[in-house]
Amino acid sequence: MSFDSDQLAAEKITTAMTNSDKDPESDNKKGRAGRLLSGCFKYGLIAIALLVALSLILPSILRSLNVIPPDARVLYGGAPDLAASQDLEELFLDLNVTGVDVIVLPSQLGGQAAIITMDESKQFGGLGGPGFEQMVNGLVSVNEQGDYDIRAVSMIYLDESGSQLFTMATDMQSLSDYSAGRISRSELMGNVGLDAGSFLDALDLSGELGN
Amino acid sequence: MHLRKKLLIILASFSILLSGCEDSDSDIFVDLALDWAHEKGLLACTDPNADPKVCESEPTTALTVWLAGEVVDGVADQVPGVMGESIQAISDIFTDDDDMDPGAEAVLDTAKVAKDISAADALAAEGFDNNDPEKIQAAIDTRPNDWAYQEQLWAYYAANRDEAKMGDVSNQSDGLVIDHVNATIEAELEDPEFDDAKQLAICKNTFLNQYLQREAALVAQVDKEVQGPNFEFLVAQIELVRNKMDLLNSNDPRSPCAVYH
Repeated sequence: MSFDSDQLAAEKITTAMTNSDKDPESDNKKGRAGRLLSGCFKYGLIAIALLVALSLILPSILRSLNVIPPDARVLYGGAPDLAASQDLEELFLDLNVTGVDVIVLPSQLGGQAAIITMDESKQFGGLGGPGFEQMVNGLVSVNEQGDYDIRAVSMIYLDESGSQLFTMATDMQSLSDYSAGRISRSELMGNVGLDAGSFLDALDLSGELGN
Repeated sequence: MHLRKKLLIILASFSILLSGCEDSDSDIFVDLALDWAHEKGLLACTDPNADPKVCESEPTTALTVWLAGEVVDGVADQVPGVMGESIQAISDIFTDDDDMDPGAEAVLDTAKVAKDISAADALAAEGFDNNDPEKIQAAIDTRPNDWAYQEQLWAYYAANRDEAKMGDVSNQSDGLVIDHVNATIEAELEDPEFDDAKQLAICKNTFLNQYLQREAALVAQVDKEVQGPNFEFLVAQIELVRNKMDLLNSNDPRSPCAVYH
């Protein structure tokens, strides 16, 4: 009997101690925190996933809305027009202009773009002979006679190390108008875009001017 | 470096930029740059009555104001009239906020495209010379939408008579061509003059481009494998691709462009 009462008393003490450890308020807090944490974690993951998805599709959306320009690598990702490229390279050979590569690429916006690279590392030279006018006349003529659909022309100038110094770009319609005498050279230049970013970068590196 | 300071440098240094050219080439580019700057309202003749082609140039007042950074945003409100518009136009030139057609902006960015093509061509040539399809695959990875390199890989497998891989690569190349046709037609649909005949022309020109790439790649393999065991097979493939070209110009339902007839 004495043993039973001691055992009972011990059980009561143990139960009391265990109950005192189990603070119902604390349990609730832990539960809420756990749920909150798992909720936060879940919503965080969803938010991150949404951000990743948005970052993937946002450029396409902005490009489709013309908010940002299309990526040239996508727009001109197709295979070159071999015949048109060769015809334009022959034009420069006929004009005795050396160190020029020409690639005519299809554009996903329709038509084609001629990329003319004038490369100092390939001894670019000779353009001073025929002059700018003859070059433009030749470009327009090759496009018409070859029945090509070149709508844009870019001229890339590379230095002796092969670095791009600048790019000038315009549309074939402006070149055609200039060739036919409908617009002046100054007016043509008004329709020319100029990217001289690399040249500016090169100046930064040369330290010619501080910040 | 501040954008405005950069602009001053570029205007002042165009002759330095082109110092590597022969004098006559340099003259052409300096003249072009000066014309461009005059036309964009960055430079003006010191003597307003002089010929812009030969006159002594100086920065325009609008450029000077913009360079000074006194007017940045909302210039039309701060400087009303023509001067405000001129400053805004100058600001637009250098903040990519102008009205340039998005296609024209992209063509201005073609230097990286030309660089990719140069790198891919070198890889493909190395793969061709060393019979290394991984190098040709590297060219494909450099220009993933360019079916020319797919066709070079296809011709490599034709030279090795691996017909299973020929089929796989051909499907990938066809997929790129069809994607390009669809994307171009979708873009052209915005043109009110775009019609069925133009859709057909886009399809035919793009597939003709693919077939010409395949023919060129096969001819290169034939030249290389004149004594090879698959010479006849390669010659037969050239005939097949030429038949496909003929098919494009017919109303044959087997033509990939038959859907546009």
